[in-house]
Amino acid sequence: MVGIVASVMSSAVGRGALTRVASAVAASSDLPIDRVEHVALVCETLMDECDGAAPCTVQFVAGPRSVRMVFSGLPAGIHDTPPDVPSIESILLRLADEVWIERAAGGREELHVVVGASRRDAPPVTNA
Amino acid sequence: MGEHDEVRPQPDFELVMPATAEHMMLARQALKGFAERARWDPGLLGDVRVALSEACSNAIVHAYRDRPPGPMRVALTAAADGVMVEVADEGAWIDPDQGAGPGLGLGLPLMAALSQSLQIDGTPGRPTTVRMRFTFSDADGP
Repeated sequence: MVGIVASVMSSAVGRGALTRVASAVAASSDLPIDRVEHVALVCETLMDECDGAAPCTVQFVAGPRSVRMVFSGLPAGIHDTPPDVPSIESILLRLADEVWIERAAGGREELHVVVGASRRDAPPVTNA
Repeated sequence: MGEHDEVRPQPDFELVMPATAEHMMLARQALKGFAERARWDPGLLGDVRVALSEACSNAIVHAYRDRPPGPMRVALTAAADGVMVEVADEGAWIDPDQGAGPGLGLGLPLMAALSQSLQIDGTPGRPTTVRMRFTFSDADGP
């Protein structure tokens, strides 16, 4: 089974393409429109951290009323922001149902983010 | 090195997906997002979208005949004067001499007419890569 994998360099045009794809994948998973926007916002937020040294890659796994995204190629330590700065992790935790990190083959860090239909306490998106 | 073995820049965006009609929508959405950020003229976007759709349709219809769909790769690379669009499959096209496939045969002429250059790497029985270059006119610009 062929999956859906998008790779983006740190260019605005590349991120624009990814945001559209993320929205389309989320919409095809029957997510409510606010959660579709959250999927796109998660992608946009993480790809903003892509440093351009190599492409950042996101694999989409669309399930019934949920989307799992597996990010790789992100700079190491993007979660380790100072406590007084809104961290990437805090943004993800507000938007996503589940967030975890796995070590893939070769020690590569993979960030897994699941956005489902059920979470209703996420804030409205006002600055996507 | 052959004449087509030039070093190519890393694409700004690359999408690998199943070569099925329902996934072609993702390629079109990606192109739209790409064009929005680059502030293309709607006329240019229309031309590229038609050509991209034709290239994807060819991969969907011809690359994996008589077997489950395999991957289709779409790559978009911004250039100062336009954009490079690449559509590749990992299938095996059938030699036209052994029987025409479905379709009217208008796809390639259409892609050639809409793009500034069209390059097709592939031979019957092997994977195929279609590369199209589109150049901004004064009105298209980013």
